[in-house]
Amino acid sequence: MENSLKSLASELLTLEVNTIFKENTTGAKMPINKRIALRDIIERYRKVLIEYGVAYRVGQPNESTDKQGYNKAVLRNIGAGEYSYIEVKHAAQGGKEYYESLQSKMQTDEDLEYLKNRIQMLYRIERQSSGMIGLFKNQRQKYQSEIKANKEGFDDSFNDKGSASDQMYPSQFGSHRWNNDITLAEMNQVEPLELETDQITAIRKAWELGTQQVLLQTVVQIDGDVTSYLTPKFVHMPADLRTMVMNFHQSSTNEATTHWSSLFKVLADLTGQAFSSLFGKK
Amino acid sequence: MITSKQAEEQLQSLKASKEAAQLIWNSFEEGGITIHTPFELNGTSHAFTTLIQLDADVINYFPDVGGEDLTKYTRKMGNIAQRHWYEVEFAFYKLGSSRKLWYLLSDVILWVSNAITLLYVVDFNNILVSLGWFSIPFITAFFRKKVLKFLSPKLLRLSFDIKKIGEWLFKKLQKEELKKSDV
Repeated sequence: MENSLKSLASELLTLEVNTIFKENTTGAKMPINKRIALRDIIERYRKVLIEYGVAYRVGQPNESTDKQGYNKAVLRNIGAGEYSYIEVKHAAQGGKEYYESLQSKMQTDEDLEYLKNRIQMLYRIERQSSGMIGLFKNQRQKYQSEIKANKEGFDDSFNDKGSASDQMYPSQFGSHRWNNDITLAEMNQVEPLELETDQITAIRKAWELGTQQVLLQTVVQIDGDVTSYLTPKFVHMPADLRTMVMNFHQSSTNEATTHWSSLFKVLADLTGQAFSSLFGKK
Repeated sequence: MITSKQAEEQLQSLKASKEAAQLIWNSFEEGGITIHTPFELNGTSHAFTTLIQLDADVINYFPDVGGEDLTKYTRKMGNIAQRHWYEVEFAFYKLGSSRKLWYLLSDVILWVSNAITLLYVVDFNNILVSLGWFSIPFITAFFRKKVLKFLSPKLLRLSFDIKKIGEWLFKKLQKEELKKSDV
């Protein structure tokens, strides 16, 4: 709890407001079982990587290289744990570098914009996957003694059980207590992951953002720097809709900033009180 | 002396704080608070959704009404966006009202910890030494406000200055390293 509060406090150093244009906003909620939420996230990433032609799932009918001769990454892991996210991160990283190398070959502005959108998405997948890898590294650290003691469900290393290179890796059930590289059926059977608040917040953010395209983003730093990103999709919107989206984003930024500063006030007041207590009665 | 009206007001505000604290507690488990405003356009369901996270980050979902002729629905969409915004504002307001409860909780914790510490230092065999210990909080209480008033802004300014200098030094070091690697 102490660590998660510390982490939340450090997250408070920046405020981020994202506005997303979303189809089917029917209000699907994040699954209560965080293992399933992690699986939702990685499945969306895998889908995008395959759709972008930078990765393929082993055993599925797909070319291992694209027309330009790019060697696609192979997706062999099942589940949504550390090993799966490492695999997805590498695929996104490779794909991003590949697309960056293609930029100079684009003939029209539209093609270039299309490519840039894809690069941004791959960058997000890479960044969010890194976050999830960090989450599992923390889990490893948390259960260090159980892992060292070789307790059941706390395996330390990956076990491919001799699977051939054209096969999916087997479930890593041996490490399910701290990890999540297991099948969907197993995720529903085993006990939920024990996560800290900041980890749940990170999962929620990744789950919500998914692979949706962000229209507008405003980042406010503690020292007062404000950065706003407007995507080409937003700029090319019909004027009425653009104004509506802009107002929507603007209002939430204002409200969030007020809330943010009041959170700081609470923190400052509470720490002030602690400080005052050293000096005596209030 | 506190009147019954004042007591009632205090109780109500604490009750509101409790509800807000509950909201925060739920978001500890779910990673945020969701405000969802559904509506229908030509028989199709859509919704405005806003997620407020504990670290104050916000994610807004603006519905992509795709095939609909937007010029026909601009006014309606604008009204629903407005209604959604009132709900979001109310959620922010409720979150803000949790302050009173946090203060109360922190006061209780501090009082208890102070009492334990003081009881620990009391030497019942030597009342004079104990009285000496007890005098420290009273002396510091006397100077507390002046010290805080003087120190707080200075500490804040100093921390920003240190951050800026640190950033400047870091950039300088990076540049030097780049120069070295070029050579």
